[in-house]
Amino acid sequence: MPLPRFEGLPRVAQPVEGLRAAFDEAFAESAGASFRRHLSLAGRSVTLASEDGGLLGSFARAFRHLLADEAVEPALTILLTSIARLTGVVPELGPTPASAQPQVVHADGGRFVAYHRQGTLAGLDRAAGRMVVWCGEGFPASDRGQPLFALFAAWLHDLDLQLVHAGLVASGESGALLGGAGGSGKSTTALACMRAGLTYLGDDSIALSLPLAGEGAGEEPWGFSLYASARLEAANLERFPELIGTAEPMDPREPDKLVLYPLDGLDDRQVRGVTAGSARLAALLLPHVTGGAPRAVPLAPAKALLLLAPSSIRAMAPQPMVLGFERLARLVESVPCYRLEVGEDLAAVANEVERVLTEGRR
Amino acid sequence: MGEGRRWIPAADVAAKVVDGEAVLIHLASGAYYSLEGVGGRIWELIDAGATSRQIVEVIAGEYGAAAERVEADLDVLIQQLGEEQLVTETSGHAVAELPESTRPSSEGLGYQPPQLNVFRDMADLFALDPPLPELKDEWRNRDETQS
Repeated sequence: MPLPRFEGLPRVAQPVEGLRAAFDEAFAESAGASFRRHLSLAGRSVTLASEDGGLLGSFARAFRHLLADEAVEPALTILLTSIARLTGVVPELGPTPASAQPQVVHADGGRFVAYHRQGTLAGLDRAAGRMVVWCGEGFPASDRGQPLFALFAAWLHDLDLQLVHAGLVASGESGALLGGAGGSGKSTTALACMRAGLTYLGDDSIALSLPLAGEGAGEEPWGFSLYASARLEAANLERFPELIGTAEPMDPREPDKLVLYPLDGLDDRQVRGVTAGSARLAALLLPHVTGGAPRAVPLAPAKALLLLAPSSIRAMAPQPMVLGFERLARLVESVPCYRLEVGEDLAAVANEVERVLTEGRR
Repeated sequence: MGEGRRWIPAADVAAKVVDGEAVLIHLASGAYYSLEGVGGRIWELIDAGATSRQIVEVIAGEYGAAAERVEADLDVLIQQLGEEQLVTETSGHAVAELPESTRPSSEGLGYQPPQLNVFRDMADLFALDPPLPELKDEWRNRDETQS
């Protein structure tokens, strides 16, 4: 059997030739993992397993709203273990990338996608539906808000779902996708809506279901929640004093960027009341921070695509970008699009979002 | 402009015409573009494989403009698209059937020279942190009994 090769990461290349063997070994050792949690993610059952309860807890924090009682034939099993387990296979991980961006590489004809960031190596075996996360000293702080973003993008792609750079809030079953570049007001809008009683499904990364071909082609778009965290500039934190206690630096090198956990401190019943796993997409809103009164202004589909797609293109990778662009183009033709002018009055912002969703149901 | 000149969207370009407006993204650089009105229609025709003569005939016919003016404006637009590496010239013959326009019926048909709108705000980000390498699917096609 030809061993998988690890392309594009020279200092890790030789050791990771045994990636498949490392997966098998890790899963064999984990058969009796003491700690297990189950998620319902994008309509699929996902199992988390680890022998380290603390590690599992820090990883699962961003998925708290998706926790399920038990897994039924999990579509994905994620094993969290120590990098020390890889000693025999990967003697040296190589230097931590200077960039905050992860290094993502493909091996064995694309079957394995591996991810290297700040001392953590993680891999997805697409054929087997398995992820292994070999952690250094705990789960990297920069990854806690949106764990394994790139690997989930790959896994979702195989389910014909697309990770998009957008937030999502809902009123009843009707969801408003919040798109646009960083700093446009997605997080502020999403958190303002949550405070006002709308359902919160995320502020930055959503799995979009909009099949372009096959049996599902023509179905209406849906959005699936992934992470119940939120990202916010430190300067905006004072607008959400109720969340100050949940804030952590996203990256020690960038103290101005915070990750928040809006579900911290809520009991399970409360969590079920403020979040959901999915929502039918009834509108696309492109926030824009202004000083005036909040209002949603209808936007031509092409203009909406111009605001939504560019920042999502990078988020799509390693998903194929041309396919992703095609899907976003279909989205803007499928739902009404609005420019959302976000003013200072956050309650009024939420009211305007709810107004759009309510009128869309009529 | 000869009858046989044709162009195709460059390999690194994703493009879509929505309600008559073309939105283009250069996937390598992160720059993105729009072409409204006449420009969006020209992109539709380029994407369909039309020759320069066909494009001039269609635009002049649909917008009631003089062919000489359309031809001159097309030359300028093609030069811009080439400089931005959005199209590459290719050979080939005129296509038999051209697509109907997707512009909304509410849009006026007054001729305005095509204008390429350029947005480079994402380009710096792409230069600092290029997109991650895309998924490969070769493993799906191989005979697993061989592995």
